[in-house]
Parts: sequence; C-alpha cells; structure tokens
Amino acid sequence: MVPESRELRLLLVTIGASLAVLVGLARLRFPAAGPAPPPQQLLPIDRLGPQALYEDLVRAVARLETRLGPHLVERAGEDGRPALALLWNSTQALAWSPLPERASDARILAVDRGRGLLLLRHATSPPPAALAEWSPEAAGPIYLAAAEPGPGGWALRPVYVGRLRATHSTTWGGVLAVSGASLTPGSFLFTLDGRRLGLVVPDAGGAAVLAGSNLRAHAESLARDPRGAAWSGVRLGRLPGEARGALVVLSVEEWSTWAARLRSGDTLESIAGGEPASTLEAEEALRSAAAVVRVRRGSARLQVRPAREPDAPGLRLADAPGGARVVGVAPDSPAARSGLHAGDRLSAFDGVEAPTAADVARRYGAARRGTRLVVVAGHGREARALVLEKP
Amino acid sequence: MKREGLDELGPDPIDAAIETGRVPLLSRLAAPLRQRAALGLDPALAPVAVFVALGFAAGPAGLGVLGADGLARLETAVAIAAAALGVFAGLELLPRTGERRLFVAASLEALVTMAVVAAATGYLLAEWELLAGLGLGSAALVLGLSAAPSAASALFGESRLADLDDALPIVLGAVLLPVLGPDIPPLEGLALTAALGVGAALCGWLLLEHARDAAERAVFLLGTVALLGGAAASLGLSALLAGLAAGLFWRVAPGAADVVARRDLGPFQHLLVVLLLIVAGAGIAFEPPVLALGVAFAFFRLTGKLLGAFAAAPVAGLRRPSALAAGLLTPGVIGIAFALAVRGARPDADAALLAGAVAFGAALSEPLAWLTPPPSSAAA
Repeated sequence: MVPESRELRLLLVTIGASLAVLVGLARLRFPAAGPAPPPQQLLPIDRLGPQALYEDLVRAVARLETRLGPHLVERAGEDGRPALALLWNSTQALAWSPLPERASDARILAVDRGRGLLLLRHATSPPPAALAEWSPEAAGPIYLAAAEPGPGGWALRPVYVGRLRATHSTTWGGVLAVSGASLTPGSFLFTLDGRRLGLVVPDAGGAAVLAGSNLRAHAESLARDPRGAAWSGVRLGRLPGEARGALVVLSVEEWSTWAARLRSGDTLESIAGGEPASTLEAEEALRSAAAVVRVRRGSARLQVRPAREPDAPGLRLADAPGGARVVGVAPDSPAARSGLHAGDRLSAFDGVEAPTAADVARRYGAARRGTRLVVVAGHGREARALVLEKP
Repeated sequence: MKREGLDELGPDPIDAAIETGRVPLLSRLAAPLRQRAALGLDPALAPVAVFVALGFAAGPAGLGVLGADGLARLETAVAIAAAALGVFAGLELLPRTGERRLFVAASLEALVTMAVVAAATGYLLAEWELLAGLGLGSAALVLGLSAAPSAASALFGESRLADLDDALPIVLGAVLLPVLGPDIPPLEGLALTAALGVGAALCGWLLLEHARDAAERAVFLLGTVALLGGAAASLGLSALLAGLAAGLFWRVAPGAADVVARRDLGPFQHLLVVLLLIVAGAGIAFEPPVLALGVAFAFFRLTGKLLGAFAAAPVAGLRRPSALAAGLLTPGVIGIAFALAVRGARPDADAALLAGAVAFGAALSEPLAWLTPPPSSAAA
C-alpha cells in the first residue's frame, strides 16, 4: 500500500533510510578506548596562555643533560660552595665567582677581579663538539635550561623566561636583561635544543645574562691576562643609555697605581691619546705604566699619570675581632712579595696589635720608602712573622 | 489555493516535453539546488559543509595550520561568538503578534527532533559502549540538543519556525551544561546564567541609552557581548543562554537597545558563524566513532525534522509539512556552538568526540538538505 501523500512518502522513505543506517551502524564495533581520563579543569588563564607540555619539557631537559655533560666542569667555589664552569675551548673553562680575590685554585689561569670572571685550565681528550651559540637581541616568552651547581653535582633546571632584552650594563657592557625568571649568578643558560646562551652574572642588584660577542670579548680579555696581573684596579663603566658615551670611573682599588690619581666619578676623555671602544679595552689600556689619561672632574680638566708604585701594600682587608682579615692580595704588590695570602689574619702590623684596615693604611702611608715593616699574620692557630718592605 | 489549483492541472506540458530530452548529469545534480534557490532557500547562505571542511583541513588532523594551542586560545573567542549568536536568537525570540501558535509549533518541532536524534544516538552509543565517562543519557541529550536548531536561511514565511526553534534547545542546553562541566546544580547554573545575561544586558542598556553617538554605542555593545561570552566561559556556563537572556532583555527594555544590537552586531554575524564553523571543523578527529556518530546524527536529524514538521504543521496552521520541513533541514550553527560549549566546559576526549560528531553530522546534514526534494517537485 503506497501512500498517496508526497509528504508522507518522503517521511517514510527517510525513516526507512535512517533505520537502515541505524542497523548498519549498530553492527560496527570500535576498539575499547580504555577508561576515560578524568576531566581536566583548566583555568581560563591557562586556556589563553602558552601551554608547554610538561612531558615535552622533561624529555627535552633529559636529552640536554646528556649533551651538555662534557661541556660543564664542577669546581669548589671560592665561597666554599659548589661552583660550575663551562668549557670555553679545548683547554680552558669559564666561570664566575662571587669572591675572585680568594681564587687560589691551581687550575685558574686568569682572574678578572673587578667582575669575578675566572678562566680555568681544563683539558679534555677528545674535546667535545663545540656548542652552537644563540645570541638574540630580544626573545620571549621562552623556556630555557639553566645549568646550576649543587651539592650533588650540577643539574639542569627548566626556566620560563618572560622576556629577554638587550641592554647596557655599566659593569659588563652589553648584556641581556631577563624578566619573569629567577636566575643564580654563576649558572649557565642554554636553549632547549642545546645552544649556548650565556653566563648569568650579577648586575644592578639583580641578574643579567652575559652572552654573544660580549661574553667572547670578556673571555678573550681574560685569556690575554695571565694570573690576573693585568687588572689596573680601576673599574670603569659607561653612562646608562650611552653605548659610545663617556667612560666613568666606578671604583679604584687602594693598591692600584691609579689610587689617589683617579677618583670614583671621574670622566675619562682619552687614554694614551685614544678613545677606547669598550670598557674592557679602556681597562686594558690603564695597565700601562706609560698611560696618560685626560680626565674631567667636575668642571676641571686634568691630565693624570699612574704612580710608579702604589702607595699601598696591595692588601684588601676586612675588619675582624683580633685583627684585620686579608680578603685579597694584589699580584706583584709589596704584600704579595711579603708572603701574605688571602685568608690570613693580621695579629700585628708595624707595632699595632690587632690592627684594623685603617690602621694598616695609616701605618703604611706614614712609613718612608725602603722601610721594612714587621707583620705577624696567622692562619687558624698557626702564626708567622713576615717583613713587608715599602718600595 | 492558487498553487493547489495549479497542482491539480498536472505537469506543465512544455516542461514535460523538455524533461523527455537528455539532461546533462551536472544539471541533474544541480537541479535540487536550483529548485531550492528559486524558493528562497539559499543553499549558500550558511555553508556549514564548506566552512567545517575548511576548518578540518586547517586543523590538527589536516594541515595543522590551526594547532591545538591555537584552538585552545580561540575558546574565549568562540564563547563570545556564541554569546553574540544567543543575542541574535534572543532578539528574534519573542513571538510577534499572531505568532504564539508558531512559537509552540517551533518548540514542538525542536522537541521531536531532539527526541528522535537522542533516542537513535543513545541506542548506538549503548551498542558501541562509547562515552561512558560522559554518561550515555547526557551524551545523547547533547547530540539531540545540537540537532534541533535550524538555520534561518529561508526567505519564505514558514521558515519563521527556524528562528523560533532555537529557544527550547538553548534553554535546555543551559540546564545541561552545568551538569557536564563545573560542579554547579543545574537549576542554580540556569539561574546564574540568566542572571549573568540580564546583569550584563542591564549594564549594556544603561550605557547604550546614555551614549553620545553611534560609535560610542557600538563600542558599548561589543564590550557587553565580550563580557557575556568571557564571563560565561570563565564560569563554565552557557554563553548562548547568557546571550539569549541579554537579547530578550534588550527586546523588552524601553529604548532602542534592540535596534542598536541588531544594526551593530549584524555585520559581525557572518564572521562569527564562520569562526564557529572553522573551529568546529578543526576540532574533528578523523576517527571511526566520530564519523559513524556523525552519519547517525545527520540521518536522524533529517528524520526528526520531517517528523517534527508533521507534528508542528497542524499547530502552526500550515497545510504542507514538507514545505515546513524544507525550511528546517539546514543545520543551525547554534547547535554547533552548543557542542563547542560542552567541549569548553569539559575538555576531555568524550566531549571532543561529541563536538567532532556534531560538526561532521551538521556538515553532512547540509548536502542531505539540498538533496531532499522541496515541495515544488510534488507535482512531478
């Protein structure tokens, strides 16, 4: 019996076709998908933000750990804590230390005592394949890996960096400012695919990344400076926002030949008739005993030469009960020639018992050239008598 | 009457003579589309199949242009689009003079469609032992609710039902959504959604009524819609219902808020529909359960719409159920928006399978609607 109405025919045909589809589909069987995972309640901010998969991150860091292993060197830090160095070439490794003046490791080839950079001897055979370098002007947000020293050995930590931005540091020159991440000075940063970004250094009360050509320049400057003798004791910086601006004296070490000649805040107009391109180049130029520096101090313009010998024993002292403690000894200084070392405690200096740093400076300044000053120094319970000759 | 009189005369002898000639294959295939176009059933007004296919091609299962991260970021935009569609539905929802019977008929038609699709897909899901995590009844209800809305693409008067059959699915969907998503009791969720919609609409209305010029009104309106969608997505509530409540409020509130909303949101309607369809298409995983459920969705939606038209025609006072059905067969994007809202409220594999099946089924429904003979061929 065929229905007369077209509408009814259409309906019946559709129902028939649908039922046929239903019967056909009901015979299908799908492989069991297993228990349904629990619902994942995402906060709206998670839906909007970048969602790096944690498992991917863990895998990437694990791969990186194997790859970076041959490039990282564990060492005992000058502050007694574990420290880390990065293989710089086949024989040398680079590190940062908070107390460079205490650096006494026999492996240390060079020390930038102003900034804390160390170059260490570390030969590996065969040397690992060199790491590619990543030196962006700006980047982020991005995940990086930070290699950090720890009591159980070095470890890699994934670091979420909100933004990396090239900026200028008075201490380091060009650095990368980091926002949105907490970084430890002395650690090294890498991309998750194994490229070297740089060394985390302290800067302006926080941390910045010394990377790219500026990191290379610092390392090469250190390599040219055996035993750290070359540092003039003068720390220079540039005025903020002036990449080629005037060089300004930040500090002058008391043992430096420039002590009492240059002052903090002096603006250097030229060194030996030239205008150094970088703070590093300027500091190197100041090593020369023949360097003549044109300085602007307030409204006055001066021409300054270094002293033949510094009017200081070459000691960095910290006041302590029972006598000043030697924190650092300048190489080739009267103190170094007398046999004083970092860590010694001065129990007597030229007749003054338990001297302070001010006592030492005053007695040394008052002594005539050629005077032999008697010093009693000790390390722990051991005490020894030394002679410090003022040249 | 005149038309029926013409029908009684039988086929046009000239047409009959032409039909005896050889007709090229392409012309034969295009004939249903031409007929629908001639009746005002524009086949390209809401090309669900085209945009869902484009979305699938761009999505993670296709070329990967629109990846999983991109889709996650678009969820808030999708919620705002859903809120805007809800506003459109709300503005058109209140029955005009003499339309009360039409509203009842539209709700009846939607209810029949929902029941048919939910029953068929529920049976299949039980046979396949799928979506146990979501619950068989909930999954079938989501599919039924997604099938009920129709595209208001037809230009002839009977298709007014396509405007009105969105209301019941939106309200039921707003009750169902909190059950599937966050731990809010259904009625509390419904009340919260309505309060959100009315609250935002009230703020928007105050701003719109005190706006100095058209540009300021447009900014206030778009801001209100963004607030509706964003807040609903954040709370795991139905952006569609929040938008519907806002649209209704503007319609009944004194002033010209409804006129402004229609005029200023209108230009964005097509864009929002395209966004929803592309996102829905990109979310389709090319897996056998998705495809099988999509096929069942398309066939039983067609059956449900035809049955619904038969049930609704006497209530609406219409004599030709097939003419009514022809205006309802094209899938409504509100159904797809609801499935996407379920996926947003419950981001797991079950909800993704459902949303994929609804998108695929809706895309399949469109060619089925084109191929279903419209009433003009009754005489042939």
